[in-house]
Amino acid sequence: MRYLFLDASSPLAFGQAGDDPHHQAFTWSTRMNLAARLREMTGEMLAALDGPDRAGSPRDGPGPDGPGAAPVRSAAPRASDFAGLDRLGVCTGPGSLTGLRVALSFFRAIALARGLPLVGLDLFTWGAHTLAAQGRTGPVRLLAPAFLDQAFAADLILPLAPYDLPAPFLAPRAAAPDGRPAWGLRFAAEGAERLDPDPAVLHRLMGELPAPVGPAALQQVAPLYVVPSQAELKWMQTHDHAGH
Amino acid sequence: MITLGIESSCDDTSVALVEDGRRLRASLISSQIEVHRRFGGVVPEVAARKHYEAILPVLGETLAAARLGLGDLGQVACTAGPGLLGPLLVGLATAKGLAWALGLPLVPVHHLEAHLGAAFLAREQDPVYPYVGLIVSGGHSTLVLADGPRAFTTLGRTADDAPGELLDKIARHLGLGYPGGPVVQKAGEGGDPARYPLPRPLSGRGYGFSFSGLKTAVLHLVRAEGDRLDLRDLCASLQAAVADTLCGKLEAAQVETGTPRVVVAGGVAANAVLRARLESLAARRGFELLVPPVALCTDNAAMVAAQGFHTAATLGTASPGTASPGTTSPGTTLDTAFPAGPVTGPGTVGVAAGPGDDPFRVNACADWGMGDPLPLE
Repeated sequence: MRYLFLDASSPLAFGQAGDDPHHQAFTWSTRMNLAARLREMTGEMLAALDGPDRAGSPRDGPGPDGPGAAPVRSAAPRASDFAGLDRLGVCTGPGSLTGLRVALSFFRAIALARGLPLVGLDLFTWGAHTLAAQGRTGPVRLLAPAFLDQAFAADLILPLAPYDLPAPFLAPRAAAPDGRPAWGLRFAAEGAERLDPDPAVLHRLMGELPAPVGPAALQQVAPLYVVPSQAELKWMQTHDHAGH
Repeated sequence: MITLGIESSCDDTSVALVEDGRRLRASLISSQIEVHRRFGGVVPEVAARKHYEAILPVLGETLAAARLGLGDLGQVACTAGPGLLGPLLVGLATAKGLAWALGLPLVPVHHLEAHLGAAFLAREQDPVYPYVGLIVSGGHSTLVLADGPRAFTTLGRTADDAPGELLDKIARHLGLGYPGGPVVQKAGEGGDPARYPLPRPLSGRGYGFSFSGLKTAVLHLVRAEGDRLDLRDLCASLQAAVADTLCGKLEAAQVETGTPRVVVAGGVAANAVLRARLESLAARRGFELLVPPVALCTDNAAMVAAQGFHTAATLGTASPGTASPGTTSPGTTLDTAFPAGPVTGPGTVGVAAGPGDDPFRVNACADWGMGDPLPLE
């Protein structure tokens, strides 16, 4: 199973290249310029899959921001770059809506053009499987950063079945009111321990999650919108009441 | 060669297929007008969400309408700006993914240049230079001297509101609906354009535009007239003021530059009052006037595909699969807003002298402050 995965839900983007049994995680600062860096970031992941003659095999361990980084792929982009891939994966959020849409649009277009399956994976599911891999069971709350002091929250019961995510909601960055243990995804808050989604878990999920092919299936891979846009919220507040 | 065009700079998701820059094979637009109507204007985040939903279905339907497949494409052209960042990025990221995965050149296109190019596409001819171009829309009011693809001198642009924006705001204030251009035109039919003496902003003072004063004048007039206000005459007077202002600047630019032709494009160019004044001006001054048909005045991908073809043909691309440097050189900035140099594609021949040479490093350009490709001189 050879795959690429891209998570642009935050200004610090994550990527992963996998080729059984190995995988390599990447971290990039997008410098708020993700669209301009797509080729470079994807090229680095492809280089990791190319083998020792180009960049070395994917491996467990730190990505290019850490020691043992793979060299940047120097060849020009070609259609054949994607020939050996079995599937693509992309994070659906929640998070930076612009970042998510850029990554999703880019990978969705590649999947369409190459006839590749595209796995859409949300951070809550990734986090839930990370906790399950640590042996956690039962009810938990996962939090993802939202605007100001708020968080996108999901109350889950572990272990979580694939694509069985209950509807997320907006909540304070704090412990759950019912006392269930809470984790912040890539952040910590009072009452919520930090949880970093595990690359090894992602590697397993990329092989296990169903990923249909074709335009209709790709249309279903979309950003996880937890709340309407600010303009829609404002409009609803001023219009959606009796007597208006 | 079939050029795939993608346009998503505002509230229209459009995909088109144009053959050799002249022959329109198919063009589809998914409009968001109904989505934004309740807000009285385009909401960028809502627009971006709708673009993401629409772009693949529109692509599929456009290919089906032309009876073509992705394998028939020769290059991908996409609007890179100016426009709304979120919407632009959906189209640009999609175009980058398609171009790379299909091994095709990617041609970033300047939205305003594409609008001007629509006038030539409508005639199924290649762009002819030089010309004076006026782009008037909901987001732009720009006067340029065009000497070739990506060879523009900006003569003037608006300091505040664009004319389409002005019409939207006044239409909303008057309760006429959205978008403002068509509803103001309809409301003003048969009205007296001289009934209300509205200002012609910056008349005779250079090539710059300013429509916020006109907007304020209309709002004051509405308040002062109260129940006596004749809506039909007001709309006729407003359109006359806008048309006079635009035509005055355009005439001065044509006379000063001595160019034999003038191109007027953008959504406001669909306005019947403006079109009539332009035709009258062209007849009086004896220049060739090119105004796209109404269907090509608003945002569309056909103009993007056509302009992308001509830009690539003039500035040069090579066939995919050949050697290319494309190297990420140390110290290279990735903050390119818009390419100013030659067009290159995946696997194209040429020296990547800077980030502007690599279309895959192009980011969406929201406004003039992010590297003005039509610099004001």
